[in-house]
Amino acid sequence: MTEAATDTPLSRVLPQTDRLLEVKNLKMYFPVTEGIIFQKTVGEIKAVDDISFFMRKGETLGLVGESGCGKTTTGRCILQLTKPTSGRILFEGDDITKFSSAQLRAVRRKIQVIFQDPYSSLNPRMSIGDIIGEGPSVHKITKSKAATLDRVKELLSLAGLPTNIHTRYPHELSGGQRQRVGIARALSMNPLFIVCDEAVSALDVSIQAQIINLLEELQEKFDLSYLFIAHDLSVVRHISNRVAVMYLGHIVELSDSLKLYEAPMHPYTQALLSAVPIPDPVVEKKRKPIILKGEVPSPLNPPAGCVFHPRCPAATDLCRNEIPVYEEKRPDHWVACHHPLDG
Amino acid sequence: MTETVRVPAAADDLAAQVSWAQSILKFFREKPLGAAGLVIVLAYIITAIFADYIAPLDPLDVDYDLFNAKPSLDHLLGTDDIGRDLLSRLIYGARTAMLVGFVSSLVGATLGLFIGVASAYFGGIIDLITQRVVDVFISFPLIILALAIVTIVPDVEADMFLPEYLHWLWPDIFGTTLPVIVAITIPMIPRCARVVRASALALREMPYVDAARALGFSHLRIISRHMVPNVMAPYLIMLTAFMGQAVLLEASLSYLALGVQEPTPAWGLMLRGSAEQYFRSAPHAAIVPGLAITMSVFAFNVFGDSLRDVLDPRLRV
Repeated sequence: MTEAATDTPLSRVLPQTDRLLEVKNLKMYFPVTEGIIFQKTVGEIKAVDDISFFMRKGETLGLVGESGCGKTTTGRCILQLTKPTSGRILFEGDDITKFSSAQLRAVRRKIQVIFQDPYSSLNPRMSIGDIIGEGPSVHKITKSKAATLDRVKELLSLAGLPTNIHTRYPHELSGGQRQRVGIARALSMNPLFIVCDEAVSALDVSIQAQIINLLEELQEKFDLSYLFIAHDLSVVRHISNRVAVMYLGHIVELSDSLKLYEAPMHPYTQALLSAVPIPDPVVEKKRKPIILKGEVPSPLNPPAGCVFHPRCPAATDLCRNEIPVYEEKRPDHWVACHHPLDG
Repeated sequence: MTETVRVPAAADDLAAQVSWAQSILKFFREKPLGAAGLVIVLAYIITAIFADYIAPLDPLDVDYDLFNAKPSLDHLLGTDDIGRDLLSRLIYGARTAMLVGFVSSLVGATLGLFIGVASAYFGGIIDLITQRVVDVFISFPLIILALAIVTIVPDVEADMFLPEYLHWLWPDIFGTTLPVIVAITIPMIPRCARVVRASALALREMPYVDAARALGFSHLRIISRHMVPNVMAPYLIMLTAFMGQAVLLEASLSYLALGVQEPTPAWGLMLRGSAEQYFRSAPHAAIVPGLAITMSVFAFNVFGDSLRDVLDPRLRV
């Protein structure tokens, strides 16, 4: 995969400033070590292996894939919670992987995160007001205690919570309410970009809908961009402008969500989509789900060639030997496959 | 805007219900033994603070007519081999024991708390080095390490660093107990650090710690505001366990003539010398300080045990 992948004709039409975030050839390998004092590396887990994509301002990019495919690791790299092995992450044109800790502190205001588990994402020893207000007061966005409290109340009402709960503690709230507190905390720094790491997966369906509507409203209000990491394809379809499908550390397909769902080009995407049940028994009866054989290979020892070839129904010798190039096969539709489907 | 989520009003009272007074009352009801320990500890503390008013005589006054006297109205617990009032020495000895016990366990456990949390938080090479140093310290028995350290630390008197008019800030007892306090504190730091690190390792992976990092907080802030408050349970358990150990260790060091020096009243000192020699003719001289030591260690330990039961949610039924 080359940098040219993201510089194809169509994307060049768009002005560069339109790109809020650009990830180029990101790799995150976790070393597997042996020994207590003199550690030696015996292998590497390729959690994220050479992925590139960009995000436009105000856009939602869905990131889907099975568990262990590197979705969350990608999010953590963008947040600079783990230092990537190699690759560049350009935020508003600057490479944040090369930032000093002071520069990073400034840029962190603009990139926030919402976590999956609303129970462990809030510090149990801090009141709701402290959790939400800590960021603004530490970064001197609000200058006084009263101003911080006003900001907390404003954020609580933005997140659809009563403003008088700032004295409460997380254990007094329900899962959905806690998730709203998490959203209010993310908004407290006036971010441009929020990584939603499985932000609705732990909630039940009715609450999921509420939270998604809230996220959409906030996006409209503040022109936010979301990297929406999830494994629920129907949720992703609803919220995303574009969707990226990951498999074993690689992005196999990235496209407009409509095009991706209607006419997938990668056999893996096709198989994933066929696994989503359709809530209509008549249609459902006629469908033939594509059942992939085998298991996801270990990221410690990924297969040669296309990582998907051991499970791919269309695999050929070419797939076994050569890594497919991730390229724009159709306008705004990137695929890494030797034999893309016509859709 | 979506409609505001309703928070049930009942939750309002929930927070108010768990007040300090109520949780203490609950502790007394559920853990009578631990509560008894707490009462004894408090009694010792009060004795230590108000020793000047409680003690009938000066603990340093020598009564030349009465060596090894049996308990009498003049000397309620009798006198020692050079005629000093045993009851007064016992009461002033509580001051030494409590000072050493509280200061060394508090300082030792708290330093251990921060070292343990920092070690877990930073991880990698910092964690590795810290933990190997901790290993070295833990491989020595408490008493051996304390014996080695106590010989190195000098006495620090007030006039060594304070002007005359500030001498009240540094009473003589601080100077004479300082080597003992340091000697007991240092071996306790790595023991607490090891236990706290284990809890903090699990905390480091919590999303709220990641969220704090994403908000761009400093390491110090994340450690002190987001991690330390969440390892309070193991810290408090270690702290109370250390208090009993520290009292016992101070008595042991003094008994071995390496701790508090004569004529400062200390329980360990009261047990040595003549108390051993004359224990057949004057057994009270050994029994009384021995009981004081036993009671205090017992009280600290039962209180600590009950505190652990209350604080550790895994043991809660």
